[in-house]
Amino acid sequence: MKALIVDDERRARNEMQRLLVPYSWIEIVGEASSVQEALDRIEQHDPEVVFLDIQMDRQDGFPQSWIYCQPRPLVQ
Amino acid sequence: VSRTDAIIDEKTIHFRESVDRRTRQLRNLGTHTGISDAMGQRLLPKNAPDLAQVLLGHPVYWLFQAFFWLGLWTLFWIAVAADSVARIQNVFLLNQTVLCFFGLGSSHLVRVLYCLRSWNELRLRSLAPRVLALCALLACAGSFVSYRVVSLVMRFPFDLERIPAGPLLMATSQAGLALVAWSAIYLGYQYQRQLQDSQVERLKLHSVINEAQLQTLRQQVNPHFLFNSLNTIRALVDENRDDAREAITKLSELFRASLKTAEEKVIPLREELRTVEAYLALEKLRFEERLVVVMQVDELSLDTLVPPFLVQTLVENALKHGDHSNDNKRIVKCEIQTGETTVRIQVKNSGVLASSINGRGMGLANAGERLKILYGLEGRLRVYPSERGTVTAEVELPRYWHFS
Repeated sequence: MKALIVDDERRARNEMQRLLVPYSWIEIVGEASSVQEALDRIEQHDPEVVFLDIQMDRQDGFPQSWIYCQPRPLVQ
Repeated sequence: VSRTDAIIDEKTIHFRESVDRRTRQLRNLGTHTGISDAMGQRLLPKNAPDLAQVLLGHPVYWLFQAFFWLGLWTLFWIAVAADSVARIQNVFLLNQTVLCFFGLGSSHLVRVLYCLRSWNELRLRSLAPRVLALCALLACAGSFVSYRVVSLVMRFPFDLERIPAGPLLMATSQAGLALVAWSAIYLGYQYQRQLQDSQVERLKLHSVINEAQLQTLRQQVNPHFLFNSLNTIRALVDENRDDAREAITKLSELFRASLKTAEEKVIPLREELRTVEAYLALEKLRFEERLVVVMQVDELSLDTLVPPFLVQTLVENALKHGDHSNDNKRIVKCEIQTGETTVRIQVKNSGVLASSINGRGMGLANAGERLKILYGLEGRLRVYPSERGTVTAEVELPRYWHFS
């Protein structure tokens, strides 16, 4: 499963990476430090799951990302 | 995270309410039951007089008694001495002597009533009729006793049916006036003493209230900040053990400083700046290059005493409310200048001054309150928009201050 980590704190992203290590079936395809960057990465990598910090420095992560991304349920 | 914020705000409001409640309680205690502090300890023992103590009396009291009755007797003696008839003189003097002794004794007993039944706490409206009635009663008894003694000593025939009304009435009114005068002087003196005492009490009460408010307003380490710091440190452990250890040290320094606020009302600015430094070091670990701190501290100010966590509150506030949307950098400038008699602390951050509703929160309000309690009008805090897109929180406080 392809995953993207979005957090404005570098150390928080690192920690997330580390926490995901035991789950070998999750493949981290990229990181982003802002909502805009996250949207670019989503476009680029087409991840199935996004680990998103809901309150980041410049903008709140939640509203925009959900508007722009088409949800794709695992089970069709 | 915003939920946590809401919870914290709620807590602060709660906190605030508890301060108010406690203050109210203290005020009520002060007016209704004498002063007690929160533990229920009496600050000023409301002296509950016991009978023996009252009967024994104070030397000043006995001096007053002696002066009053001896003076009265002497006055009368002077008046009577003009009279040439020795026998009449003697009768009058004897009558007067007996009356004075009776007055001494009865006033001493009356005093027991005043002290033990707390008549000296009554209002004048209810006090006056009681005193007058009591004095009239005692005066009647006194004149009767003196008449009986005189008739015994002078070998007058004593006949209840034929007591001469004139002299008896005169003796009664004399004794009555003397007792009323005595009561007026005695109660007046007591009243004046009480007034002084209550002023002292009020002052003490005021300081107790201040102390209680100060205790509750004292800044604690923000739990939200603790949560963030612990997460940062957790990430740091794998990355750089030394840095992680250092971060833990900073955190513990911060908590030690916070513990100290319970013990000390004020600390040297030097120490406060160490707290600020520890705080900023931890925030720097979290924000990394996105946090820029500029400190300009006049060395002369370092010994000035400030309430603990004062500067930290300003800095934390600047970090929290500062606008960083421009280049995603939080810039906090802290300038401390020394004047002749004052020290001025300015903390600046970029942004516009938010309206008071969602703006500068409880932290600054509490800091302002603390300053007011500690320095009165000499300490003040204001927040104002300064040069283009900057908000300044400014504290001015006395450079030298004698803390009571």
